[in-house]
Amino acid sequence: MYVDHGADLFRYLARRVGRDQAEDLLADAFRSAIESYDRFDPSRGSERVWLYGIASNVLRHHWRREQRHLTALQRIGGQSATTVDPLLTVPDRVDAESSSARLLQAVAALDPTDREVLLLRCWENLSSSDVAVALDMTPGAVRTRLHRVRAELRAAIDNTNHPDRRTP
Amino acid sequence: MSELRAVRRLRPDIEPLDDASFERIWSDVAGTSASDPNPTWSTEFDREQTFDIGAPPNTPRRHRALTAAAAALVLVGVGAVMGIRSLVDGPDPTVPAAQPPPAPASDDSGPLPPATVGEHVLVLPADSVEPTYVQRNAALPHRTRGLVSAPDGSTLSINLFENFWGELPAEMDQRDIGGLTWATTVEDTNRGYVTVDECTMLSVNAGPNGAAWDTDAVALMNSVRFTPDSITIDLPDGWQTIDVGPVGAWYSMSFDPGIEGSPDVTLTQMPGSNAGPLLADFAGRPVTAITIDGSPGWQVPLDNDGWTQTVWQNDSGSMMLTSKGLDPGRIDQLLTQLSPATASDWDTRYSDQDAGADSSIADPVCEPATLRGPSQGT
Repeated sequence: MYVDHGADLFRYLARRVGRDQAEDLLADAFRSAIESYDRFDPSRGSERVWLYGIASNVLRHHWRREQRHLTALQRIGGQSATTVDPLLTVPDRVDAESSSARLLQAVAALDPTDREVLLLRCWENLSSSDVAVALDMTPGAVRTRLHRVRAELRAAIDNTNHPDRRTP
Repeated sequence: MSELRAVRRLRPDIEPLDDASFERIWSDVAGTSASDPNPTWSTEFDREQTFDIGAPPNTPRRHRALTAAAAALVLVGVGAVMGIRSLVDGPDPTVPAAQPPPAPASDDSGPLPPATVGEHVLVLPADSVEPTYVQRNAALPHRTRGLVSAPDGSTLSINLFENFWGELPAEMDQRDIGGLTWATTVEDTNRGYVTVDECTMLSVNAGPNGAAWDTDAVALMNSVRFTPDSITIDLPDGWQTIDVGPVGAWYSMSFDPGIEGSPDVTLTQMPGSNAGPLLADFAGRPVTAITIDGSPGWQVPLDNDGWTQTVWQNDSGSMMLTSKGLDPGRIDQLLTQLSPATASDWDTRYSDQDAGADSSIADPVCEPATLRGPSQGT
């Protein structure tokens, strides 16, 4: 199971935190999966989806740790302490004024759970039902969140397409 | 462009983790090696898996016909284009699995038409309906799958995998049944049995939580015969073939059916193929015979929340709909909203959002001369 799905999980994690940290998080996810395997319920979904849920939790814990670390640094050095998915901050490879950059900004600004729903759906190609299982929510909640996300992103895209509506 | 499609386009490409790194990670976590000296075994091949078919193998391998004979006769021809039809008797929707409905009037024992560009072999929703998920998958040229039912209505799947090489690992629980050596495994709680011969693997799957060497499974295994040219499954009395067929290319999409109260549905179409490959995932589940759009079909409950899988077969091929709360009448209503289309139409409309086939699983190439040693190959 781990060999079969490890490649997908690694890509998922690497898309969110970069390759180096993804290796550590993949190990964390495997460790968590081994420890909790007796709680895996095949009637709720496949092992692959279950592993995505674990990896998503690992990501969330990772960012909490990062946030605490940055907060501590802020106390020491007065630095700003905010953190989001590193790959969702506007990357250097795109023009900050481009539609891609604006869309990424909009994705980064989403509620964290909404963002997770969106990226599991769009980047990992999980079905809405699988996303629901992975994130322990109902399929209806996933659809509601996706509907909301689409509206928010649509507004961002509209802003991109209408320069006069762009925020400074 | 839709919002979701736009986000999809921003997905970063990630190079795969190299084997050495994976091995190191796994060893750190589990304290054991992830590498396995034996060939990988899978008793239930996930439909989501696809194979990189690439160039056809030119190494020696043996094609054989798979024949499942009983009151319902199924014949599989093996070749570039394969097709089958179930020849079964009257429907009784009250009897799960055991009494599939009759074949459509246009049906005969001839092969279904292959899926080719230019023919109307698909159905698609209106242009205004934007799918939330789209994926097209390549055919699996060496695979035949299907579902059979025991006299008590329980279902088991059979999976023929040609161009397969390997041997049953000694540590597996093995028994000799009907002159063949079978081994049993459990994956994702699914009980499976496998037997191998030169370049061929056949598996029988009993579904979730099946007991090892269950009476029905043993009876089915006991009906299997390998000959140099064919594999025959002479089903015992009271057994029926629900459907068996080669695994063709398939097209999946999720979309809003426009029916009040219904969440998104997922429609999977396998043009030019029988329903067997779609039904094979339902081993161990109750299968109810129904009629969809005037064609023979089957329905399988997925959970207690009203989600069901509905599979049917018509002149163009087979289809499967994942839906919640849609009875056959409402599915018929949904189908009236779909329009005939070609594979080219699919590409034109959805190529930019197609999740694409997973090519990470290579189609194995059987090399019996190498496997068996020089004395076998020269």
